[in-house]
Amino acid sequence: MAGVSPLPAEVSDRPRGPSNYALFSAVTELRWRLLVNSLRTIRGRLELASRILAGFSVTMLALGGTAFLALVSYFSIVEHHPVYLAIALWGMFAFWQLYPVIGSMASVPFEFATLLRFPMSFSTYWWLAFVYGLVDPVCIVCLLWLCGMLAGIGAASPSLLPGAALALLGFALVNIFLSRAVYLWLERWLAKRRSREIMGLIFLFAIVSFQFLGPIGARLELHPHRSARSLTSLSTVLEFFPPGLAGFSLQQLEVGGTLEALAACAGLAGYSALLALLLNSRLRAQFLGENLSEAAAPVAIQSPGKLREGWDLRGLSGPVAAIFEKETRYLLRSAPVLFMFIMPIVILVLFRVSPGRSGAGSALLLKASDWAFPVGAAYALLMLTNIVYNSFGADGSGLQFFLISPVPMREVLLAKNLAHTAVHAINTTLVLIASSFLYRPPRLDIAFTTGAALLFAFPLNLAAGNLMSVYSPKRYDLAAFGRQRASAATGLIGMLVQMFVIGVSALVIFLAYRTGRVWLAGVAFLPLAAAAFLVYWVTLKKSAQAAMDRREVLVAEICRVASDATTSNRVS
Amino acid sequence: MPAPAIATENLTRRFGQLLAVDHVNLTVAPGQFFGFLGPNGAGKSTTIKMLTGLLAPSEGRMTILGTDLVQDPVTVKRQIGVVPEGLALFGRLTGAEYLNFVGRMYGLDRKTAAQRAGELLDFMQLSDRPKALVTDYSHGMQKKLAMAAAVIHGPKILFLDEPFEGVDAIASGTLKAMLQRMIARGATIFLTSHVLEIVERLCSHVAIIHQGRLVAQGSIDELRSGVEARVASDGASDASAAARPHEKLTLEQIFLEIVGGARLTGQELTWLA
Repeated sequence: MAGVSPLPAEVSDRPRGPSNYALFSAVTELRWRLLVNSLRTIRGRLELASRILAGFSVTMLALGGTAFLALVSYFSIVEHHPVYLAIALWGMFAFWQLYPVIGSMASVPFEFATLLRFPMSFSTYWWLAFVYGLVDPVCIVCLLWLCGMLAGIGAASPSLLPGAALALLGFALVNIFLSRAVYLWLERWLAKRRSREIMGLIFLFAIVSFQFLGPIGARLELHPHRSARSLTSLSTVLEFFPPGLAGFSLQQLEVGGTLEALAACAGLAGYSALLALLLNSRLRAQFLGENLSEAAAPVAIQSPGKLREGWDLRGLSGPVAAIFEKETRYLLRSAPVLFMFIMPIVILVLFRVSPGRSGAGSALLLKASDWAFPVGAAYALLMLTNIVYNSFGADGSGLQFFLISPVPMREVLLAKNLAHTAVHAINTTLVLIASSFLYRPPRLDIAFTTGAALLFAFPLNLAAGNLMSVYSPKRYDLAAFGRQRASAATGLIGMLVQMFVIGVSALVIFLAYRTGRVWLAGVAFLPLAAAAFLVYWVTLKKSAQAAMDRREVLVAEICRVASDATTSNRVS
Repeated sequence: MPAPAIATENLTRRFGQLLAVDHVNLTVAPGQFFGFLGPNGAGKSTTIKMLTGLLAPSEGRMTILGTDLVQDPVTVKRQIGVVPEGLALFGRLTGAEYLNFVGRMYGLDRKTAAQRAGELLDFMQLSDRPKALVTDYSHGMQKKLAMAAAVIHGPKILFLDEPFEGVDAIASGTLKAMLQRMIARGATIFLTSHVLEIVERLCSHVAIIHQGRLVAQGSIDELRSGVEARVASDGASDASAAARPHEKLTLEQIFLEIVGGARLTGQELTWLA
C-alpha cells in the first residue's frame, strides 16, 4: 500500500452514534425552535393563538370526557348495565382511529422517515415512532378517558379493578399500535399525489354517507322487529373486534366470568401483537431506506399518440379559448371541485329520502317541491363562489405565465369568468334534472324566475370575485381536501354580497308572490340582471388594472411554495 | 444602427429600505448570448423580473427591441420568451396541453400550436409520457417543458433565469444545443446562472451585478483584459494568482476579482478532515 497514507485517527475510527437521550433532546429542541421561529410572523402568532384555544378545547374535552366516562362506568357497574361500557369503548375506538385519519387527509403528513438521515439504531427509531404516537393529543385524550373509566369501575366495585385494568390496558395497546400502524401506512399511501386524491375522495364520500345515517336510522325505526334482528346479528360480529372484546371482558368480569374475561384479554393481546408486528414491518421498511416522497408517481411508458389540438370554441379569441380550456380542465381534474359540484344534488337526495318531520327542511321541500330547483340552484351558486372569489388561487407558479404573456389581464379574467359561468350553467342544469326526477319538474314561472335571478346574482358574484381574487388572493391546491379556507376578507365580502343578493331576491320574489304572479319576479330580475352585468363589466377593467398594479403581491402569495409561506419579495 | 435588444436606463428597484437594483444601465445588442452574473442577493433575479414584466421598477426605463416595456408591454411580451425562477407551469395540465395552451396564448392557431407542441415535446424527450400531469414531472423535465414553452412562439429574445439549475447532463446538452441554434438564427439570449463554466462556454458577453450595482459589462475578453490590467497594477490576488503564467484567466477568476470574493477569510476549519 505504498503511497497511500492512512486516514487520520479521528476519521478512521468508527464514529460512535449519539445516545438516545441526545437524539430525543435534539428532536425536542428542533420542534421548539420551529415553534419559536414561527412566532416571528403575524400568521405564526395567530396560528399559536388558535392552537392555544384548540388546546383549551381539547383539555376541556379530555377532562369533561374523563369525568363523564367515570360516571357512566360507575353507574354501569352499580346498575348492572355493563353494556354501556362496551358502547363507550366503541365510541372511543372510532374517535381514536378516525380523528387522526381525518387530519392526515386534509394535509400532507409529517414525514417521520426524514429523521432517518441522522445516525440512529432501529430500536431508537422504533421508540421515537412509538413515543411520537403517544404524545398525539388524541391518544392522550383517549388514555385519560380510559383512566376515567377505570376509576369509575374501581369506585363501583374495587374487586373488578385488576381485571378491568388488564382489559383496558389491552384495549389501549391495540389502539396505540393500530393508530401508529394506520398512520404510517397512510403516510406511505399519501406520499403520492394520485393516491392522496383518491383517498381524499373516498373519505369525502364516506362523510357524505354519514349524512344518510340519520334517514336510514329513521327508516329503521319504522320497522322495529326487522331492525332488532339485524342489530343482534351485527353485534355478534362486532364482539370479535377489539372494542367488542374489551367490552365483553368487562361484562364477563361484572357477572363473575373470570375465565371468559381472561380469554377476551388474550384476544386483545393477540391483536396487540399482530399490530405491533405490522408496525414493526412498516418501520423496518422505512429504516432500510424506503423513500416514498422522493419517488416520482409511477407512470407507465406510453406510446406517444397523435397530439390533439386545443378546443375549438367559436366566437372566442385564441387566448380566451385557451384559458377557458385550461380552467375547465383544472376544474374537471379536481376531485374536491367535482365533489363540490355534486353536493347540491346530494342535498336534494338527502332531503328526499329523509322522512318528513314538520318544520324540517326536508318536509318543506316535499310540501313545496316546486322550490327544490331554486334551492338547489342557489346552493350550486354558493358552492362555486369558493372558486370565483379566488380565481388565481389554484394557478400556483402558472400565475407568472399570465403576467409574462402578451394577453391583457382583462382577457385572462374574462376567460376565467366564462369558464366558471359555463361550469355553473352545467351544474344548474344537472340540478334542474335531479330536482325534476326527485321531486317534480318546477313550474315554468318558477324555472323562469330562478334563471333570471341567477342572471342577476352571478355577474355580481363574478364582479366581487374578480376584485377579491386580486385584492385578497390565497394560494390553494385543487387536489387537496380541507384546510383551504379563503382569506378572512374574502369570506366577509363574499358573505355581504350573498346577503345583498339573497335579500334583494327574497324581496322581489315575496312581492311577486303576494300578487299571485311569480313570473313577475322573473321579469323584475331582468333589469336587475342588466344592472349587475354593467357592474361586472366596469369592475372587470378595474380588476385587470389592479391585478397588474398588484402583481408582486399576487406572485408573492400565489407562487410561493409551502415552506416559503412567510416570504414576501425575494431579492435575486 | 439597430436598436439594442435590451437597454435599461437607471433601472432601480427598492423593497422598502432595501435597494435591490441600483440605477443599472445595461445594453445588450441583438444576437448576443448574454450572461448576467452576480453573487447571491446581488439583484439578478430582480432585474430579470423587471425586464420580463413580472416586477415594476421603482424608477428608470427599459426598452426591449426599441419598445418601452412600461408603455407598451403587450408588444414587448409578444417578442420575448421567458423561463422565470418559478418556471410558470400549470401543474394540472399534461405537457402537451400546457404547450398547446402557451402557443395559443401567444397567438398561434390551434393547428400550429399543436404541431409545435409535438415537435418540442419530441425534441425535449418529453413525449413518452403524454398523459402524465406536469406536477408529476421531475424537476429536470419541468425545466425542459418551461424552456419549450418559452420558445414555442419563436421569440426574438429569450430570458432565462438559472436555466441549468437541477438539470442533468443529457438534458443540459439538449438545452444548450437549442440555445446555440437560436443564437445562430439571430435571437438574443439573456441568462442568469451561477454555473460560470456554462456561462463562459455559451456567452459572448456578460454583465456582473454586485450589491444592486452593475460593476462590469462587456465581452468576456474585454473583462479579462480589464482584470489583467488591474492585477498588473495592483498585484495578484488569490484568485488570479491561481492562474498559471501565460494562461488566460477563467470567467470564475474574473468574477471573483471583480466582486471581491477572491480574498479568503484566513479562517480555517481545523476539525474538518
